[in-house]
Amino acid sequence: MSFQNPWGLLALLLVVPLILLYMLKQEYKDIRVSTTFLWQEVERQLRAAKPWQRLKTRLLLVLQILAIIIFALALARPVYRSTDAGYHYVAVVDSSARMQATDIRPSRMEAAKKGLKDLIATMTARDRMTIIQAGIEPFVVVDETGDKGLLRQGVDGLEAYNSRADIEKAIQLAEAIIDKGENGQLHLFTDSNKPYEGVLQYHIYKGDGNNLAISNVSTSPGEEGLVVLSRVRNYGDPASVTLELRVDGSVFDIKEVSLADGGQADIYWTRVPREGRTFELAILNEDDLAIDNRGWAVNKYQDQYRALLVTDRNVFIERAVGLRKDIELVKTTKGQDLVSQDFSLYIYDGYLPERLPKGHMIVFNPPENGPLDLVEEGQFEPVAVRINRDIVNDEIISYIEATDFQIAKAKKLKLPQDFDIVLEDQKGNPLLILGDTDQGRLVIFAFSLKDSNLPLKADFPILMQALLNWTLPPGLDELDFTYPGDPVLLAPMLEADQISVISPSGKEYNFDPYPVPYFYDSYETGIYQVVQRAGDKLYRTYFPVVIQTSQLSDLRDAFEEMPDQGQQTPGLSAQFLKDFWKYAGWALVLLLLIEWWVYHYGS
Amino acid sequence: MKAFDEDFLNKLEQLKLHSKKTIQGGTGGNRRSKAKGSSIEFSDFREYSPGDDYRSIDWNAYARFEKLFIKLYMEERETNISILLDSSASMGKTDPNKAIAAKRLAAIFAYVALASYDRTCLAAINKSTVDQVPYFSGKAGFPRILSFLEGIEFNGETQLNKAIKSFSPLYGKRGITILISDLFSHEGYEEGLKWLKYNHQEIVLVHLLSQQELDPGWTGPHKLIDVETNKEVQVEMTHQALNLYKRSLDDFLEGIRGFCSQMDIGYTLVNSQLSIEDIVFDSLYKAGILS
Repeated sequence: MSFQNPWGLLALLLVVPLILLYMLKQEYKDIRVSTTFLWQEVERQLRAAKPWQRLKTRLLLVLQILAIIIFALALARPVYRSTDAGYHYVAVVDSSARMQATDIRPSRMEAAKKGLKDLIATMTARDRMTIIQAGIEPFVVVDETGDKGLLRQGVDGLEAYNSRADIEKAIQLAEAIIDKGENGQLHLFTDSNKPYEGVLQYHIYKGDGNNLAISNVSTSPGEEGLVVLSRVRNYGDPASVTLELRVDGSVFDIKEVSLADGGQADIYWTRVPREGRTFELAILNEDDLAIDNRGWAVNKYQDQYRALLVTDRNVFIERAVGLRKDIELVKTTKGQDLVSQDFSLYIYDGYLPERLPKGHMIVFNPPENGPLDLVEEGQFEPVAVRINRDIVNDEIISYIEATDFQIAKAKKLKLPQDFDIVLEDQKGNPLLILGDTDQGRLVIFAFSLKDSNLPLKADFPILMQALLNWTLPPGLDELDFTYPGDPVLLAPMLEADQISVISPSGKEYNFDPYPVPYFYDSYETGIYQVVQRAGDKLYRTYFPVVIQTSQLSDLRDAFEEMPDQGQQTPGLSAQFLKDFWKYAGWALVLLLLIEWWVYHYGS
Repeated sequence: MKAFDEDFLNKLEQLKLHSKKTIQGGTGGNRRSKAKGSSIEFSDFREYSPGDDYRSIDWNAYARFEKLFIKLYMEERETNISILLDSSASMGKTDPNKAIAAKRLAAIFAYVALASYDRTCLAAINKSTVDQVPYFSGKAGFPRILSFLEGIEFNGETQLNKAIKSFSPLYGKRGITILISDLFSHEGYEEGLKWLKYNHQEIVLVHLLSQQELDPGWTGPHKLIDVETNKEVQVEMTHQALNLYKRSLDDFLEGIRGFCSQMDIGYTLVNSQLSIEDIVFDSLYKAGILS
């Protein structure tokens, strides 16, 4: 047996004053009477009946003590359980952004924490508990313990993140923990009615919250400056929404829009300054979930790579490179000395300068006896050109399917160590190789596009994009947005010495540029700044982290049916809580009636 | 509250003391005595003997029987009325209503006696005679009675037997003695009443008790202090204790009634809480003490 409210047992202290009252001598009220001789007989007879009186007094005392005990038990709300062996509670706490909602005060998460503390309070000395926080990944906050102080401390540390929560994964972890021992119970503290297999008891904390959310912010170039496109959705009662657009922190414009229940609106903000870097859209109305009232976008049309194409004219290459909006292509013809300028990528078609530039290169049909010492003399006719599926950088060929490539003639290439062959012929002669050199990344086509049907294939632009992405990774600016908690691949510049990320609140994380790092602590919403240091130069790029409104903004749950309490999977033992405080209350009333009868008619 | 107001005095005019027996001795008065005399109320005949008042000869009887008979009449004589008022502490210290009722009762009896031209004496007694108004007659002396009653203070211990015996004016005189008391006398009352009987007294016992004495409505623990002896009794006033008291009181009253019946003593129990009208009409009239 355990108590849901052990503090109620403090009422047992009432027994002490009760006994003191019985022990204290009764205070007699003085009355002067005409005579006492009639009362002397009364006193004599009462004295004769005193043993019974004493017994009656004791009986009254016992009844009153019993009444206090029952009263204290009723307050303490005892519960019976089917087993004396301790239980292992595994509490899974949903820490999704929706748990920040304030439609129940102070918030869904705080209410869930209180509920979990109540459960901890009912634990007996034999019980243990494990607390799992369900975020994007489940996290064991407190491992199996019976220490209530430790458990409460763990509960205090729980918070709702800005991300979604993978409850399924957390329940799988919980079940794995439960399967190890006996008498396990899985309790889910969440705000959703969605049923999950294996949950013994649901603790659901939700109200009928009203919420407005910014579901999208993006930018595009317009005729007169930038255009910012935003989408606002109403997940509650009809509302007039006030929106504010800030460009680089300064207010640019304010608009109002009326939204019906469940309605959404696309709002365009035109003539936004092209030089604006970050754009923040905010809903000024108050609602029950504040975290999705702001959205961000960055201007991805500002920083661009510069690439040099040296060719007599090759429309296939021009068009393939032109697909990348962040690459500014500079075209020139053979012999023009543009090496003195800095380019991120050099593309040579049947030509190489005398001195190779420092940077990434894509070379088509390299000349013999040129500065590149990978070309042997002579040409050959490749037979049965095929794709090498065993290359290390497999993302380059993962979307290329065509196999009927025809190549009329090709240069013989030496294959340096650590270089990959992308295309080869039947004899294993390399036709397209790539690899890292001291100068940068190098891609060599052993043939001229004019001698091949490759440019005519649909796979050519795909192959070119893959090669461009390998040499010039898409800038971080090209990330329209990412969701809180999702890992962000940081693509450092070749010449970067150090790369760091500065969160919206100003926290700085530093990384080595290679191997290419991932940034994981993206739980904060807002604009993150990526700073790359190359020598004395600093390059800044930005990416926004926004709420996944499609999953998190609707506070009114789609699952209206409450899950069955006590649904179990094999391996979970049952708990039979029998709340008997009502019976204690009735027993108390009966006892008081008996006490009243004994007092008045006991003689 | 004043014991004797105008309203009270007006009511007295209509009262008359009723005596079961005729009283001998004394002269005059309005009370019929056993002595056949010259009043207008006819009683009997007897043969004439020398010395008789010839005005009493019934000449009609002489014509019929040729013997001289004289008419005998009830002779109206004055009676000695003694009113003994228990003035012990128990009569007045615990309940002011009881003291007022006691004085009023004494006044009622005194007035009725004086109005009947009886010789009336009033005495306050506790363990002896404390004070008294000697015998006198005539309504003109009633203010003297009232003045005496108003001066009475209720003090001391009740010893009725001793007190009654100490009332010297009674010696050798027939008459009516009215005792107003709560009979809370530790040594008893029987001996005193017997002594009065021995002294040819017709006794009227007015037993005056307060509402609190008849039905104490107390609850909880009480220390009862005897107002005369300061004896203390501690009692938890429960349902049971009050029932025991009721039984004890009933036994006490039953004993008095039995004794009075045996001794041919007129007895009435009076609740001091009642109004004077209720006392006169419900208690004294019904008991045949007043008419």
